[in-house]
Amino acid sequence: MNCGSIRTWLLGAAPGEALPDVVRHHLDRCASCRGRWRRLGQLDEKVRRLAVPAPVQSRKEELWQLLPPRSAAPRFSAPLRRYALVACSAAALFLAIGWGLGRRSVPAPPVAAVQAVEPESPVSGPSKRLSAKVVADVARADVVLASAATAGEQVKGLSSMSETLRVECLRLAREGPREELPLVAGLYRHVVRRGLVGRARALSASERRQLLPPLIEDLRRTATQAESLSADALPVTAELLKPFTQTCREGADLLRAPAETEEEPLSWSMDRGQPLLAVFVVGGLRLVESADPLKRAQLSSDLAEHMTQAIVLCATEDDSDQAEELGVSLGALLEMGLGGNLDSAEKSKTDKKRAGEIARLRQRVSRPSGVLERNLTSASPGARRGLERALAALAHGRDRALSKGRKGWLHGGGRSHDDKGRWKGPFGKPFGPAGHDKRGGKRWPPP
Amino acid sequence: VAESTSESDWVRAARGGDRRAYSRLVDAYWDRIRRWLFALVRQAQMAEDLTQEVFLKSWVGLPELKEDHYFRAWLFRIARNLAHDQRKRRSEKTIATNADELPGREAGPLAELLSREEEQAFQAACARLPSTYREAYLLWASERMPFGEVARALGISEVNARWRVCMARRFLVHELKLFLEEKR
Repeated sequence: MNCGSIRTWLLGAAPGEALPDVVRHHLDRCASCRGRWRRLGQLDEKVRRLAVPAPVQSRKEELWQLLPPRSAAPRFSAPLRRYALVACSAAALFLAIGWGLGRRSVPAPPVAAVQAVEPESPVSGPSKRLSAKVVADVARADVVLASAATAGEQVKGLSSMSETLRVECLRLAREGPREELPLVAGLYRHVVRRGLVGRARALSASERRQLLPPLIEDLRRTATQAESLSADALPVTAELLKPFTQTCREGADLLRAPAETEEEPLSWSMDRGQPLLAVFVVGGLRLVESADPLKRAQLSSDLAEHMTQAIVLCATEDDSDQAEELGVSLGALLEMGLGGNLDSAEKSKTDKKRAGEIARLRQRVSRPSGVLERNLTSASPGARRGLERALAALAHGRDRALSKGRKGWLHGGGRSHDDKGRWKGPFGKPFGPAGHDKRGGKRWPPP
Repeated sequence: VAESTSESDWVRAARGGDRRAYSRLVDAYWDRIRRWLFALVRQAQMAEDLTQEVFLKSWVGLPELKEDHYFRAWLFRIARNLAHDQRKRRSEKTIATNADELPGREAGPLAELLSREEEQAFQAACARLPSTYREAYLLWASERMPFGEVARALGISEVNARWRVCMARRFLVHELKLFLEEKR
């Protein structure tokens, strides 16, 4: 592992944590990385001890006067509780019989099975409207793919994207809206068949041994979950889930025993008017299929335009959190996807036409912030918040993309190009190996 | 139960309406929640109000909490939802530019170790950090939560929690490099 990989790894490690041998040996002989590791420790320590204003003691004392008695929550006395229990049980039984008689062939989804797929959080979340979040997660995977230089890194980025789509498919099947299921399942198929299976062919033997077994296991488990959901769901939902289940089964088989398959044409494109989720998935797939840094820079620029559109949509829907999240991804895409690939393109042989294209694309770095600023002038107060947060979040990445020879926060000042002058990006290597987070975290990247 | 040292015991008893047990939980978490909320909203008074509201809500909602060992993540989730609701009601700009609220001028535990300039630089860098990253990083660094618990508290995936923490540390190390260089 080189300095860049070690520094990326260290970002996810807690101070004082036992380091694996490979990292420890590197730190023993590299003063620069050792300094970096110490600075991360200093940072956490100082942030932990930052001053906060003195507490207002009366607030805490007031609490005891304000606490409502527990009876404020709907509760019954013991006899009433027993009565309520009997009444509720009878009503439930009545409903169950009625439902069973009326729709014998269509049993309701079993709650236990549904919860086994995705456990419920102890507190209900802000909302179940996850589509903006799914788009933001896929956009983040695009950033990883825009800077991935090897097949192994691409497989990791694609597995993150497939994980997002997999979870969304199962959620849609359970909770709806089910009319979105064909779109998400179709995109999932592309990511598995064209993305994961396609890039797995380029992996070395050792990478195959390391990366593929968890992926195969995950696909098989998902297929079983989907089959179980289908068995208990309405026939229409079961029908919609069929292609998804098939993708999982076929994907697992193809990853286990690679076979020549005909490449399926993409059902969506990156054109305007296409669903944003589809644009980001297709963009990610094109990024991994393209070896030319100039082409990758063009794709990054197109994706940046769509991310700008997504930010405006989130902001106008008063979802400033997702707008900010997308803003960070956009900044990173401008820096690593657009700027990084343009740097690589400049280093390779360039004719006049390519040089012109590079110059044209360089000018597009500041375009997204220009668009957002123009929207800001006419935005409602709610939308302004989201746009301002997104603009602040993308500023770092954009500024680094505008200045050459970047050593910004997104790549920790480490060497950011490999020997061939290709951009490595911040996720060239995993943040930590299996079982790395001693506080109970899981491995990165997820299987 | 209030004399017990186990948080799970306090949670169980507080769920049954035991105020003494709940007071142990309030004592254990009040300052931590207030500190975290202050980092999120950047206003002392508001952080204080929200902290009180967190404990009011958690008292009412405690009977709904199914698993005792998720209490901390659950409590921070309530705090986070309240902070988000508050932010929606107020202009972000007002919060960010209200410099009088920054605690740099007050003597804190760090004041003896860091110069005022350093303290203010750290406060300002944390304030510049995108809030989604700030909330995840502070849970991880200050609360020493594992990524899984950070994810649970924020209602995001564990992968996303790890990404946010890493991005936050990267951002802050870059922003504060002058103050983090080793002193030889």
